[in-house]
Amino acid sequence: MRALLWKDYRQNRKMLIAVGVFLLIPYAIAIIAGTVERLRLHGEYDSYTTVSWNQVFFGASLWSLILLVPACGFIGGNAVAGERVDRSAEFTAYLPISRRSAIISKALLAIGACVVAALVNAGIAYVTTGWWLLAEEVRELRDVRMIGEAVWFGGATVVLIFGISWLVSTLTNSPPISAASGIGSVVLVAGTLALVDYIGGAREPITLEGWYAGLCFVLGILGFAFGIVYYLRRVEP
Amino acid sequence: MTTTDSSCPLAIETAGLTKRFGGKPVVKDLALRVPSGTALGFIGPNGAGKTTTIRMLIGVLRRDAGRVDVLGADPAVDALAVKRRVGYVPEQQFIYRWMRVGDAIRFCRSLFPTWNDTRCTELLKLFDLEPDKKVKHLSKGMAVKLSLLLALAHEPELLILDEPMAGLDPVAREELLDGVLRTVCDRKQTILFSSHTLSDVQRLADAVGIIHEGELLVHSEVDALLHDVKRIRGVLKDGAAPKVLPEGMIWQRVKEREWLLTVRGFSRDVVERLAAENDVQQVEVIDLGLEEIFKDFVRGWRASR
Repeated sequence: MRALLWKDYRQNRKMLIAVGVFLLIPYAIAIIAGTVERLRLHGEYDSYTTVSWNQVFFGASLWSLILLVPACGFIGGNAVAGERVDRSAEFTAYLPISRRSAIISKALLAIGACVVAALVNAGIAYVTTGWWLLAEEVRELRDVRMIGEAVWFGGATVVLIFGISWLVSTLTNSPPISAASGIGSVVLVAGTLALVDYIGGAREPITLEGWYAGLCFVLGILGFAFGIVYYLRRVEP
Repeated sequence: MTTTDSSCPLAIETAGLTKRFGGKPVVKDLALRVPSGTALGFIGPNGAGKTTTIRMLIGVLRRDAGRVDVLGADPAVDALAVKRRVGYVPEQQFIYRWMRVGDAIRFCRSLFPTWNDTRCTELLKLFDLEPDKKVKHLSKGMAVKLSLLLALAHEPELLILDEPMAGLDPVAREELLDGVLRTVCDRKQTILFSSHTLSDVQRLADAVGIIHEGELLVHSEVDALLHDVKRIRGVLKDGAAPKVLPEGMIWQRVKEREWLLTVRGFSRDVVERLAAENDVQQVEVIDLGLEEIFKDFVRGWRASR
């Protein structure tokens, strides 16, 4: 399994680096903006008007978490299809590697990468809010219900995007199509719910939100499970 | 069709092996028997069903009907056990291009319990492969050599080569063939060798199987086949046509007065009967190489349809 994990990591390394750079963009922008502001003030720091570095990093971590949602589509979309682009999947097909071990390794790497990225950003958000207790926005976000809702909807969307891009990745040999399918599925689910709501008359927002999250979780988990079943039965190429 | 008989245990045995793609059979009722320690040359035109058969033998492809036994196991049931004991070199090499030669070796080493480091080092030297070189920078010939190294270093009981020489220049082909011969001759490995280059097959194989359109046309020891199959050239009398065809005729062609026919089960009696039963002025017997025999079997099969 270690050899498989190493191979999958190396196989996905370029994409993981690209996702890492993508998630660092908010931090880079925040650092540049913070530095420019300080240069503009010629070092005259005003705690009332100047945004602190904690605020800067907190905002960046939230943006990075938002960017992580589509990024999970790229990670899931590359997980299986990435090996089919250069046909290296055929090389492993001839080796004594069980399909089960192969898919477990791919799932561990893909899910692990998403979880690590989420935890790093959430950790930065937590640490920076812990040090920055005065800001109004933080007090709002520290509200347990709001944080819970953000995690619930963000998590549901991530599960849908990852599950569908993973499924399409097992079916095709195209990582871009797989990632686009995952990201597009959010539009499809949200659009369908909006249409049903429009046709059927306005419902309580809470009902629609519940349906959205429920559908995201169900479709995402089903997509992930069907992807695994299909991969186990598929003959490469 | 005849099969090679041997009292040796069989490394490969198939019976009624059938595979269909989209309802169209690509391998039909195939019966192969390859005794342990022998080399079978598996030949056939493009699309004959060689690779499909091989992929079923190593458990990559599921069969639709029939029985397969490879080294005492059914690849459809226990593909992992079969793959651990089989070395396979495909026609096209898809080893991870980002890997270095050393990475590919370490990766495969972790998958085969029987991996032999000493043998691997010998093969690295023999094939002149640099461990630090990236796979994507290897020439086609060197990539095939790496593939062969990976297939041989775990000391497989069965080596399957699926047209690995295709597209190689003569020097690379010779080096590779030499490598195969040098590394397997002193070991009692069974080889299944698929190739279009019949001179290579003739050099390496003890027996030969000719497959066409999924059907096994012949399965025989090479020497026996060369001895058994002859071409007869008869010159017909003016205005005469062939009357009685000999038994075991594989293929024939009449062009003006020249009558060429290839027969299996050749003996002097066949020639004498042919001369007696037909209006021929002159009869000549021509020895055939494996390539001509192969062509005649395929042409005869096509003509019979």
